[in-house]
Amino acid sequence: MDARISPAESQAVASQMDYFRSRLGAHQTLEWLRRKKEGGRKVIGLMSWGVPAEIVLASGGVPVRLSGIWQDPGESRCKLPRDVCPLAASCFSEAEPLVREGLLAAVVLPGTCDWKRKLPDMLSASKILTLESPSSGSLTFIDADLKRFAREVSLITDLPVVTKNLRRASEKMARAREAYKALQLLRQRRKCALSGVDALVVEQTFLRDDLSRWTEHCSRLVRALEEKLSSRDDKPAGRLRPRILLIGSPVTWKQGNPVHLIEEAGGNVVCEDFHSHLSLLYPVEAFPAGAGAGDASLASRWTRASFYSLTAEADESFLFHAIDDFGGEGVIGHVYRTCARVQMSLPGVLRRTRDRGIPSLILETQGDPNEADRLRARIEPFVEMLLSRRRNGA
Amino acid sequence: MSIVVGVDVGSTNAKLVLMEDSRTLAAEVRPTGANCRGAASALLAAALQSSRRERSEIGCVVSTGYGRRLVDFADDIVSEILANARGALWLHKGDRRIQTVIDVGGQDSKVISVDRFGRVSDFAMNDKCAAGTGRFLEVACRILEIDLDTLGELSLQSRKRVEISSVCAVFAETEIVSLVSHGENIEDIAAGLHRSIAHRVAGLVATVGLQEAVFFDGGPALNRGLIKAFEEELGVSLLVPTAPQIVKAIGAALVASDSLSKKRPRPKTEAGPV
Repeated sequence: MDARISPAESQAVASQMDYFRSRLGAHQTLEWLRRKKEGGRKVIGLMSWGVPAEIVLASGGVPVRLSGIWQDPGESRCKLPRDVCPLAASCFSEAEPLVREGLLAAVVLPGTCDWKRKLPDMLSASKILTLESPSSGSLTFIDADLKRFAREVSLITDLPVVTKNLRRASEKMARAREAYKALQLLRQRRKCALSGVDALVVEQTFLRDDLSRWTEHCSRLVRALEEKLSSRDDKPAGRLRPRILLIGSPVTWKQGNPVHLIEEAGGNVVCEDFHSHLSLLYPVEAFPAGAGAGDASLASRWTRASFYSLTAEADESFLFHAIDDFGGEGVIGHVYRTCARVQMSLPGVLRRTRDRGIPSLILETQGDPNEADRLRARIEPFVEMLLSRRRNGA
Repeated sequence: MSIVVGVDVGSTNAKLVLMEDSRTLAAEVRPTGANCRGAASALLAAALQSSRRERSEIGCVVSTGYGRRLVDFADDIVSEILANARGALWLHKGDRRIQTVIDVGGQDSKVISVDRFGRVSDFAMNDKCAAGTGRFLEVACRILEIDLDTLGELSLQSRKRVEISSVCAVFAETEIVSLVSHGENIEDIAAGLHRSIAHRVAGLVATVGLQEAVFFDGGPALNRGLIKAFEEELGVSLLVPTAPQIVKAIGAALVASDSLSKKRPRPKTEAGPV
């Protein structure tokens, strides 16, 4: 079976994907940030997808995402404690060249995960800004924390965060999120529109280039995919592939990660929730308007970004909505051995998906490319089983 | 070209089965060692020799197991889960329908749930720890200075309950050393080891749900002490084939037989009792 579902046959789609793939390399990010720094802009690294980048944009800063999964964690293993989380190692690999070149004016370390609190010691970085782990039970605290964060960012960029700028920045981010949301909605269609690998590439390039440019390319990709899907001669290569949702700890390393392996085995990852993507589709309504530096969406997104903010029931609710909307035929939960939180919560969530008649599989990894064979031994029969269920109308 | 071959290259042993028209012509087992390709080739040569057949008579080869991609003479590959379920259902000719298959291998253990049509409906595999696998027993035998083949019989002579509580093979090694130094009998320690594996595998069984009849295979299923521990832990009697280590190789050969049938105008292979 063809391992790739990438819609390479569509020229328009392929040319948009070329843009996203070109943004993945560390070199391109470095070049972009060098230009920004030379232009007098302050670059601020964000160690979480959910950090309210609007505040950085509103203060004239350049937010760059350091919470990536694309850097090989192995590159920094010799500099980090032996049992450090692979995601932490990947983020470290990503941040270190920028720190070394003095490109970062500050790094934002959110308290969403324990290792993020300890990263300043490992990075010996420039200025460290912190954002406490939000909790749905402490609205006042989040509001105050985001305001404090805005003041600290302003001190670095020398531009205060005023309402007008924040509104403009929020609109810019909203356009980016809308484009990304449109892409996710396309993935809900039963006729396969995009491979999970390509979707991951798009997601990973968010805040690794000028935000307006990224948004434009994302919108163009959506349009190209819509055209491809509506064309009569389109042959949906991935149509027969079982539709799989991938959740849990964010995957790392370039080759041999579960997304690659699932699609290599004949499945299609139609939805993943590593970086709280689902919050785009199922927004948290826990916050009243006005919370969080005057913008409810900031606090809302920031809350969802935290592993600790939502109850297990809320997590399940997200997942069950996603299973229905994405036509999920199976759920794979990925967990690092070092990630106690996911280790504790995932089995229960997946047990309940089984109770709903959706097969599930847990993949425990250490983020090591050498694990690929062991993972294949689990993924391949899972995909086979889903295919068999589909053939027999399960 | 009527012969089909199933090769199961496992982490500890490689197994090969030669079949023709639902008949087993030859079955070979040897340690995988560091050279998976070499082990598979040697098995094929041995099987052809013992069955007095020629390489040119082979119509299709399907490989499975960890080293399945390294079998350069294979026409196709199949996952261990599928091969195992297929082999188990084909081997079991009794009245009781198999609904659960337990396989304890050299480096992992699996529990497979099979639906009424003989299809894999669910499965669970152990994580990457060696505890709960055949490797765990090998390590224990090295410390106890006994032969792996005698471990099962020794454990059946146990008179005292000794617990191996560690969930990690490495820590269990320390625990065994400690038990020996405290003067515990080898028989009791052996029984404790088997209970420890059974307890871990029972966790996997709980994941997919226990439904009788339960089939038990894999090399460690040759160990009578382990069978007893499983039966006590799960509260069911197990169906164990006479050659439990070649079940996946048989399953792979049956898949090869299917492929061969599709190529022919008239299928020659009878379906097993699935």
